[in-house]
Amino acid sequence: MLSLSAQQVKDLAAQALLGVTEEEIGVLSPAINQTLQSIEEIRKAPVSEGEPTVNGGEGGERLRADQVCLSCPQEAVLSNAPKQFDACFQTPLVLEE
Amino acid sequence: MEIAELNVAALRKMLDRREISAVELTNYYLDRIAQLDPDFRAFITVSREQALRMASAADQKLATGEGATALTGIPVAVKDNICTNGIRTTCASRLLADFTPIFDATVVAKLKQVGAVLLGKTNLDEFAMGSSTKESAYGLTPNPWDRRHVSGGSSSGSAVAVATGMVPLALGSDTGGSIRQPAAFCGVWGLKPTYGRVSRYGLVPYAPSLDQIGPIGRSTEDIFLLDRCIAGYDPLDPTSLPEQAAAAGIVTGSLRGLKVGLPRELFGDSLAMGVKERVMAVARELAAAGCILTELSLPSLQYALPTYYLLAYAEASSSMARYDGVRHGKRACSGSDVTGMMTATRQELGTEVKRRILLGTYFLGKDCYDDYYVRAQQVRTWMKADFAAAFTECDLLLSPTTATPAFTIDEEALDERALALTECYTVAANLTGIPALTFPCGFLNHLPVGAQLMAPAGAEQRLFQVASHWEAATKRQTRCAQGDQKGAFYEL
Repeated sequence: MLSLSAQQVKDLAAQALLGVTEEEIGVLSPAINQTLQSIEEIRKAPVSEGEPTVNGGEGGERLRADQVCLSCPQEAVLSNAPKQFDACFQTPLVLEE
Repeated sequence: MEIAELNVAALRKMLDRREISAVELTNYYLDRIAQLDPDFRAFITVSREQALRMASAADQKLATGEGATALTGIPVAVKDNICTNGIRTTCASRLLADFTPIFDATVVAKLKQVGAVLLGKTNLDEFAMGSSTKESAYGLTPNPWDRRHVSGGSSSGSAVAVATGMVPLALGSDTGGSIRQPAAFCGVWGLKPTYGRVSRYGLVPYAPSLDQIGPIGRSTEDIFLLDRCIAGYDPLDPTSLPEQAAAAGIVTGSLRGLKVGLPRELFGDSLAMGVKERVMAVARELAAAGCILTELSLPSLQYALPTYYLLAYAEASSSMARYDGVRHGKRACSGSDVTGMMTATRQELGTEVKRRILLGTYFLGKDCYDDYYVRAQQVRTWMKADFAAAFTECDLLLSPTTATPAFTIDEEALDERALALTECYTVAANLTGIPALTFPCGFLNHLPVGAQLMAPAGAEQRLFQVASHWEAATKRQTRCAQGDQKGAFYEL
């Protein structure tokens, strides 16, 4: 049966870039294990040979015409940037200079 | 009758006869929000100035008659995970507290196009993940019939705003029952349309293969009108279905010969007896109108909840990856490097959102992927086939919307099984992409009970027809709930 220790939950949080406190780990670990227990049921489902469905709709994914069209003005787009520099989004340094 | 208790058709008549202007009507609802909302927190943002501007434009439209439609001048509220140009869209999260979209979701653009008046943005569980608004960074929205109880979730702000008469119509979103469950708990009408019928462009995603925007209102006709306005093909949503001819109105013909299926799995032991009695009363009324009741089995339903958890949480972990302080979300100042900054930024997410991201991340990992995640996708295929087979035996399905009426706020906090009991009736419609409508069918003690109708994809008209028949046959009309009826019994 699936089960995760508190340390495994912490590792998972690191993988998901998710800051969690010790207090939260104490709440999250039992809640996660409760859900893991409830999904065990699915292994009994008689679907081994079935095709997977990835979309709820019947239409599938469709592409629109590849045409240049108007987009949002640069000024409006930048209004939500946490930091701006030279009319660009300024992001934290990723690679060392 | 107070304006707050009127349906859209009645408001339409008042506007068309110039008994009231759109500005006056808007002011009436804004005053009502100011009066009632401090007790309910149904709204995160009230866009007073924009609303009055839109109402003024609607009055001009009504004066000339050019482009006026059924919703011109009618106030509407929008769930706060649907983008609105110039009005902040928080998703009830601290991470998006300052986010003001620079574009309208397609549904909002459509509302503006017909001259509807946007009153504000309604409360929800953070990123629509929850069933009680306990997870909102803006506080819990209590049940309008008894404030000791939850109003459901995640579209509870929209459901409460409609139930209390703070607005006649509202938009919600539904990933596993987030329109239908709060609508049922609050005694109003709600529709989860067929997947792809309503554009999701501008809806902040939770689980994109399940998410759908839909209407909440005070009658079948009201939600029909809002659904008709927002439905239609949208090139901006790649899952949008081809345009269908818009219905002029709800089909009102005889129900004679219509086959109504009652799935055994949705009338089991976990269902409260009082809820079952009220839903069976609906079945008896439909039988009296000439419908043929058929009991049937949908064995795939047994696996609906684990399937939903696996797929929704996996998609959530992917959807939520963008809130890292670089692409989206309020950037945390702490963190020595980029990874530290992103981790600190995401620490601001609520516990329930974190739980779902962690589970989703695990489901997509090597330990779970084939044996659980892919298996859930296979169950989804089976479930679609199972429902398709059921719809060869019947025209629509009738079930409860939830196993019990709204639970108490403390009860919800203590018992996660209560949440599972509310979700197991609703998730199948999301997993299969079919439309589902909830309508009030009575009260249990002093809390509303909802009945749910499901139909094949694209057959919304059938749902409207049957719900409308029930409403007319029982001459039911919702009163406005104001949270002060504790212990009192109200028959609709």
